[in-house]
Amino acid sequence: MMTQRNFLILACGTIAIGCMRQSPPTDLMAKAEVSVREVEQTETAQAAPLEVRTAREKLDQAKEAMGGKKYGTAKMMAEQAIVDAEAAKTKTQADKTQRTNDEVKKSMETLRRETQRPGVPSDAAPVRRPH
Amino acid sequence: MNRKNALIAVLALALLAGCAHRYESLDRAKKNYESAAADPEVAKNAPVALHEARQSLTAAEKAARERGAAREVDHLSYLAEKKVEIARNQSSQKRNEEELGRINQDRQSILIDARTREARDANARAAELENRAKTAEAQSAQSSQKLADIQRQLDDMKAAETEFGTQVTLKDMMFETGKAELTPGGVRNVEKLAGIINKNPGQEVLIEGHTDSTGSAALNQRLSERRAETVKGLLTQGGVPADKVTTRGYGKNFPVASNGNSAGRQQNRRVEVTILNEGKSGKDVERKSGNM
Repeated sequence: MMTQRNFLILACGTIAIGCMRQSPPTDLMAKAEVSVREVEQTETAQAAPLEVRTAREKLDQAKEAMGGKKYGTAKMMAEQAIVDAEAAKTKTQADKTQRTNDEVKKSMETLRRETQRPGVPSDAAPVRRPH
Repeated sequence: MNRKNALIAVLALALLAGCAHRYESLDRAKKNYESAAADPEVAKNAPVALHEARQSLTAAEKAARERGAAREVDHLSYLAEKKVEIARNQSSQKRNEEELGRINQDRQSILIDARTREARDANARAAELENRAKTAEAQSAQSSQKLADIQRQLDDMKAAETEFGTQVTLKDMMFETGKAELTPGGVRNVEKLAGIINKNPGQEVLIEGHTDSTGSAALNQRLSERRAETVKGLLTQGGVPADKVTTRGYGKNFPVASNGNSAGRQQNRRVEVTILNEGKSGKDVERKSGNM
């Protein structure tokens, strides 16, 4: 025999995990804050502005949810803000090294051509890796 | 239907719906993950990131199996997809860094090659220059030796190196005054000269007669030619092949001293016999100006 209470628990478990009681995800929120701040303050903000704004918006939504004690929602938004920031950061770095490589390859061609003629450039320092 | 049965029916439907429910987000995430995992470059360069993506995907699949809320499955699928993207970015980054390393090595090799080539070329040039200097030195030593030898044998005939060869000057004294005949002393000298010339077989001889400015140009021209021919005749008698000897007369046109005094005029009356350098022919040499 199904009591009303049992039904509610079952329904909650089936339909919406989010409605179960959770503890406030404070560590996660702190981590999300750091991640989003980092991409906002570095070159990622210029290189991937849309992705950075998305991350910021999700973080704001998480904070709002925290205020309303909707910890399930806060957790989700914070997790998404973190991966959004990380994706933006890694994409920016990959693009940067790609551009560097293209430029170095171009100057290599010039170097190759010039060393066929007399008068070799004397600079032998390797190209610095971007960091 | 009573309330209890209705409840069971609803739950049963919900269960069935959960079973048959396809999560588009999950399908997409799964496809993304599988293609990244199958890429050997990504697997090699970003294994940790790929593993994290796998974990999110597994959680999403679990939520889907347990008929979780679409919101939860979508969320976990989203995380999985983003983590796949992160893995791909990290993989590209690593690949670019490795490529940059290779390019740097190439750059070093090119510079080293160029330097080596440069050094080799410089060495080769230096060696060549040294060779030439040595050869020139040897040749010069040889010719001054030769000249010294010739000079020794021809006491009263002046020998000198010119651009054409070794030039011996037969003075006016060796000829009868105003004539083309040689004096006995002159004959002896020319015979000596023949001997020297024969030591250089194959080398041609040029005989050039000159006079001073006294008398007509025509007369001087004729005299200078005849004197050159006299010398040639004696040389060929001495064994020098005639076809190797060229004669020319220049008359008064190429004085070596002033015609204003007796000593100068005597100097101008001369016959120059040049043992030409190897490969040179008398036909090639023609004086056109006052230059010797």
